[in-house]
Amino acid sequence: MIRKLQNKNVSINDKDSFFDYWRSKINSGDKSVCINHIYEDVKNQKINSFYQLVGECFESIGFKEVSVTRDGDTNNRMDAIIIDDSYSIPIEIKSPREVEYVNIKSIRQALENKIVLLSRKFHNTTYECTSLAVAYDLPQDRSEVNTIVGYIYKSFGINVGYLDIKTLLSIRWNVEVDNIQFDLNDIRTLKGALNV
Amino acid sequence: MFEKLSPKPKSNQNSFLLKDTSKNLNISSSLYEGAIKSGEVEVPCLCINCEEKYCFQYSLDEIDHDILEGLPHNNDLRVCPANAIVLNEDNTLEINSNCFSCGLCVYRCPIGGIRIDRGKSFKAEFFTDSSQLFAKSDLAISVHDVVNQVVSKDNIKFSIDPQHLSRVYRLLEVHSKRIQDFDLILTRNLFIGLGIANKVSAKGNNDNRFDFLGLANNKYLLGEVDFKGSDFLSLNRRILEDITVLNNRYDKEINSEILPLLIILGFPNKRSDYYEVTKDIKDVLGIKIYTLPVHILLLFQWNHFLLDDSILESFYVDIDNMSIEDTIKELIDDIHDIDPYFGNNFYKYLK
Repeated sequence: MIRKLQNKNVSINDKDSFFDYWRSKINSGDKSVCINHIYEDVKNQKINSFYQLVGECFESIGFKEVSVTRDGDTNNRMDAIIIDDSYSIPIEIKSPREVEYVNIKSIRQALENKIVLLSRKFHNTTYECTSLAVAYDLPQDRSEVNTIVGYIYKSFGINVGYLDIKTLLSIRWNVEVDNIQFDLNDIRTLKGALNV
Repeated sequence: MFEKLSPKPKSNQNSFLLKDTSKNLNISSSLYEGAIKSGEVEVPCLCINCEEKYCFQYSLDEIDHDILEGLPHNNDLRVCPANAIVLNEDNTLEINSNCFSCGLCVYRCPIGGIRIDRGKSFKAEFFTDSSQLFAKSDLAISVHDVVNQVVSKDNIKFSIDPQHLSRVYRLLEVHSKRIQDFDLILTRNLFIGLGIANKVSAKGNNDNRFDFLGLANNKYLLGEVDFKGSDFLSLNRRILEDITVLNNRYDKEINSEILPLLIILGFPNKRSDYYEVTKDIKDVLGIKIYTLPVHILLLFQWNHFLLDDSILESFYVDIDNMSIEDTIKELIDDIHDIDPYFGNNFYKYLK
């Protein structure tokens, strides 16, 4: 179950309100200006809030059901999961308070999440369907991370993709504000970084 | 050249066979009624303060194996992972209180010059009665001058008892927290002693992802070493990454050429997801990650085992089999009598 971002000025039932709030707050309708402001604001968010924001973004761009775990809930192995009849996607989330960048550790955890999902089958998925790592920023050393992502695919046939919050917000803007439909298969089959 | 006669070793003391050499070692006759011209003589094990210092350090050849040439590794030559053997300025060695009686130095000495004190301390100590056997010399004596044939080491051993093991286990935990590289060096040196060429990483060196890489029967033993026990799940994750590196960068086949191994101090508790995830990995990827507590390597050493990959493959633990007790009972008959910790988390999950 999605727990909506708690914002006093935003109606939690109106999904267009998210960017409306920021546009009126900074008095700008410019996409990159708006997203940069949100990016700065998110940096100090509590872990729970960041997880929820990530979950909301995935829901907003078109995934029907996204489940986000609460911080401290050690019963759930995955931070979040996009639930689908055939292509469920586990998500490893690192809030900026934990670590700023997607790194090798988050890739390893994304791999483990996928293995657990394939083994325990609490939601349907496939080897080719991605397992995601989402963090505040993209990796500092992208070549190292991309190398390991490539190795994982060649050795195990498992796709691992990664996203930063800016990219996710950018896609969300395209969908919510500019009404540009997003092809969910770009995420479902993601290996490495997403080019937006 | 030795002349007759037959000396008798001191009672309760290990001994080794000294063969004839062409060099005159100027052996004191105080222990002997005479010396023999040729043949063998049984000589009490004594430290001769040899120039090789086998108990203190390896040679570079012994630790720099041709396993994946060019792979950076830990060049530390020390035999004692606890830094208990110290080289003095006068080129003599002494053993300090860091000693946790692992026996690595005992097994390194080719002439049995070290023993484990069976009294209170259980510390290793040198047999230092050398002045009675070898004349004093300004030159260090090479072991090869003394022994030029394969020496039988069957007499060089010590019995294991519960008190000894208790001390070893206690100090394993203490040293792993205090001494840098203790876990890696201990692991490396034990595997060397058990006949497995290997390399371990140097702390801080990020070029070499693997903690441990050994070679046994053309199989690569790919290991992560962790004695802290704080995050077992991260060990499995690291091993999976290591496997992909060995597979992609060095072209090694995953199931036929790689044996993934976690070397730990003790098992995590029953509630840890480690056991389930290990099974998930086996079921999804077809990869078994083996788990070997380090004290097992010590037990193997003390029982004169030579390891191979087939023995290591009996150390698989997951949610369906959370204990290595049965495996050890098959390998070491009297384990119940020897090890007071048999049954605790050195052998299986904690409840």
